[in-house]
Amino acid sequence: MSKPVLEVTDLKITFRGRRRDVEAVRGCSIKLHPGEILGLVGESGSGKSQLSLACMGLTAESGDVSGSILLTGIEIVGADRELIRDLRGDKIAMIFQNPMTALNPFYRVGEQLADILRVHHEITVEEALSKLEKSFVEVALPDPKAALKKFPHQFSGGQLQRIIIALAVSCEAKVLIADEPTTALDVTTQKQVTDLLRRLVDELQMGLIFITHDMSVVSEMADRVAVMRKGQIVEQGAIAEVMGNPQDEYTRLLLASVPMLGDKKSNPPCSGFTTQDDRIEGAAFLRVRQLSKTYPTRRGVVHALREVDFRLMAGECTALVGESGSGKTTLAMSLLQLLQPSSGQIYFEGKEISRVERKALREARRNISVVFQNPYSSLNPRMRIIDIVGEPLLVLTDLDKETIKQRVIDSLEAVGLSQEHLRRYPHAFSGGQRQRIAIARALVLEPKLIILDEPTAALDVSVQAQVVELLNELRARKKVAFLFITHDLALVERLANRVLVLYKGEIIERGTVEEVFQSPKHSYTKELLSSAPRYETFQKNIHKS
Amino acid sequence: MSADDQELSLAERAGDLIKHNRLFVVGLVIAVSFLFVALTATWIAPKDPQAIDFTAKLQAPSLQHFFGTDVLGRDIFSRVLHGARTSLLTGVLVVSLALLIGLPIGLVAGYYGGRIDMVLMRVTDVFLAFPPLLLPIAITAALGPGLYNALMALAISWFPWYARILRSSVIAVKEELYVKSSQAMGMHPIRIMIKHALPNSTTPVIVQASMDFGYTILAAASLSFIGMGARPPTIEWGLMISSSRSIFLEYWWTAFFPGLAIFILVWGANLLGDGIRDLLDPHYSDKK
Repeated sequence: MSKPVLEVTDLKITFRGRRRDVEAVRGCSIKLHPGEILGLVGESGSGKSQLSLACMGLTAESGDVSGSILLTGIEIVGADRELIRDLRGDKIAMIFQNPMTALNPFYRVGEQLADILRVHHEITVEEALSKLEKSFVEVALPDPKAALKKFPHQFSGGQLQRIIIALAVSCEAKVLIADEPTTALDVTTQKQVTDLLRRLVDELQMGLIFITHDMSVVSEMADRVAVMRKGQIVEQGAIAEVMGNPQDEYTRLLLASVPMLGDKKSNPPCSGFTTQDDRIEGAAFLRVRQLSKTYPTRRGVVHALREVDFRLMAGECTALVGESGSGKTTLAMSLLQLLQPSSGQIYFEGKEISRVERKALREARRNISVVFQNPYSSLNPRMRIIDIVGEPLLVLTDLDKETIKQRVIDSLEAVGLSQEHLRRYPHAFSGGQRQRIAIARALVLEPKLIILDEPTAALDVSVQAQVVELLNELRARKKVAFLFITHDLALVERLANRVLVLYKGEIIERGTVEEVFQSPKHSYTKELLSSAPRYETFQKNIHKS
Repeated sequence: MSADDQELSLAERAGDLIKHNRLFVVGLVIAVSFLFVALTATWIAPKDPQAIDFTAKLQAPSLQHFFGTDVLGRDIFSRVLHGARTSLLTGVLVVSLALLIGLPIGLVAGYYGGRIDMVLMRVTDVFLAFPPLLLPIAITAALGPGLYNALMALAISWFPWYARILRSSVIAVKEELYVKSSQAMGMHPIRIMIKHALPNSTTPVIVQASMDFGYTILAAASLSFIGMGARPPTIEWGLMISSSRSIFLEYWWTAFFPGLAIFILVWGANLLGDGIRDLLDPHYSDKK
C-alpha cells in the first residue's frame, strides 16, 4: 500500500482548566491512505472534533498537544505557525458542519474563494477563477460560470456544501476533513453530498476523514472506521470488521441505536392501538380544515401552508414529515396558536380554536402541549426544574402549591427522573435529561395531544434511542396522542401509526405508516424513502468483505 | 472552552476572578474604601469640613492639613472625605433612576416589536439626538440648578442607552424556545416578560450600568463645575474644583486633591465594571 498521507501517533491533547485539566484526546493513533475514507464516529464530547482540529494545527491555545501528527511526512505537532498556515488549504482542508456560516455573506463566491486559492498558489485572479469553475463542474454545481458571481445567500445548503468541497478540490488538498458535513442538510441532499465525496476521493486520491455520529452513513461510504469515546479510540478497522463483528461494547451500543428503516428488532409494534380509517369521524379530536398561511414579501406572496386538511385521532401518533421550508413548523405554530393562519379553521373537540380570544383558549391550551427540538434552548436557564415543569400548572390551573409539586414529581418520575432533581437548574443536566424535563413539562397537564418538534434531532444517537423508547412507552401508558414532526423516516417507523408528508406547504401524501412506506405514490415521498438508511443495506454493507 | 467552567457557581467564579484578575481586585478595593469613607466621613474626618477659618486660608499641605486648605480656610482633606458621599450617591441614584426608566421601555419594545417598538424607540432616539452633557445642561437649566435636579437630568439623558441595550438582548431571548413554550401555554405576556425575558437578558445592561457608574460621577462633577449641579454648601468634588478655578495655578492643591479623588473613583468603578462583565459572562473570562 502507498504511504499514508496522514499519520497520527499517540496523540494527546490536554486543556489546562482553572480547576482541573481536561483530557480531550488521550493517546489516539490513526493512519489515512490516499483514496481512503476513514469514518470517525463518536458522540458529542468524545474528542473527535479536537482530534481533527489538531490535524489542522488549529488546537486552541489553552491546549497542550503531544505525540505526533505527520501530514504528508511533515510533522505538525510543535511546528512553526507559519509552516502550519502554509499547509492549511494546501495539503489539508476542512469542511464544516454548517455550510451557511462557512462563507462570508459579504463577498461574491468567486471573489472569496479565489482569494483563498491565491494565498497558496502564484496565480492571477483569472486563473484562480477558471480553476474554481473547473472544480464547480467537478462537484456538479449547476451553472458553474454564473455561480462564481453569486453571493452565498443565493445558494441552498446543499449547493453551498458543494462549493466548499469545490474549494478543497481546487486547492488540490491531500487530506480532507469533513466535520458532520451533512447534518445541517435535508435527507435528500445528504446522500448527494456523501456520494460526491466518495467519487472525489476515488478520482483524486485524497484521504478523507469523515466525522459523524451516524453509523449508517459510515457503513455506506467509508473504507475504515474508528470509534471514539472519551478521548480514546475504542475500536478501529475495516467497515466489515468493526461493524460486522464489533468487539467493544460501546460500538455495539452505537450500532444498535442507529435508526434505520425496516429494523424490526428494535421497533416493537405499538401496543393498544390499531390504525383506523382516516374517514371515521368519531375518534378525531383535532381537525384542521383548509388551513393556509401566507406571508407577503416584496417579491409577492409566499405560501407557507396551502389548504392543509387533516384529523388527529385520540391516542395515535401521527408523523408529519417534510424537509426544511416545507411548512412543518408553521403548521405546529398554528396549532399552538402562536401564529394566526391566513385562512382555514382548527377545531379542537368540535370547537373552533383558531381566531378566538386568548382567554377562551385555556381549555385547548391545557390539552395541547409541545416539546421543541433543542433542549438547550427550551428550558429557562434561570429557573429551577420544579418551577419549569410546574409552570403550565401555575398558569393554566388553579391548583395549590402542594398539589402542583406532587404533579411535578409524578411527571418527572414518568420520564425517569427523580425528586432529587427538583431544585436543580437546567445546566446541571445532559441533553438527553433536558429533553426528558421538557417532556415532563409537556406531560404535566395531562394533555390529549403533544406536539413533538424533532424532539431527538439535537441528541446523540444512543440518547435518541432512549428518548424514542420513552415516548413510545408514555403514549401507551398515558393514552396521549402525538403529532411527531421530523425528517427522519426511520424514527417515523419506530414511533408513528400514520404519516402526513408535507412538501412546499401541501400535504402530498397521507395514510398509515405501512401504506405510505410500502407503496409511496408521490415522487417526493419515493425520493425521501430511497435516501433514508435501510437496515437491509446496512447489514449488506457491513457484511461485505 | 473548558467543560468545568459551566458548573462553577457565581461565588466560585468571583473567587477565581479575585485570584486571577489583579485589576478587578484594585477596583474592588477602591470601591470598598470609598464606600467606607462615604459612610464614616463624619467620624474619620479630622476637621469639620464646613468650618471657616480665615486665619488659615490657602495653606499648603502639611501635617496639620493633609491636603491643605481652601480660600475660606476649610480643611480640604475633610472636604474630600465628605465629598465621597455625594459622588457615590450620584452614581447610584443616576444609574438606578436611568435603569428604572430604561428597562421597562426596552423590555416592552423588544418583546412586542412592530409598531410599539417603533414608537418607543423613536421617543428614546429623541433623547439620544443631543450631544452628551448638553441635554442635562438644558434640563437642569429648565429645572433650576441643584444636585437633585442635576441627577434627574443625568438619568433622563442616560436611560435611552439602557432601553436600547435591553431591547436588543430581549429580541434575541424572545426567540428562545422557553419563551415560545410559555407562549404556547398561554402565559400572560407580562409574566413572560418578567419571568423569562428579563432575567435572561439583563447581563449586558448590568455590565453597561457598572461601567456607567464612573461616567455618571464624572458627568455630575462636570455639571457642578459649570455651576449647574451641586450648590454650596453641598460638598462636591466638581464644585470644589470649580471654586478654585481662578487660583489653582498658584494654589495647586485646591484643585488637585478633589480631582485626584474623582480620577481614582472613576478609574476604580471602571475596573469593577470590567470585572463584573467577566463575572457574568463565563465565555469572556475563558478567553483570557
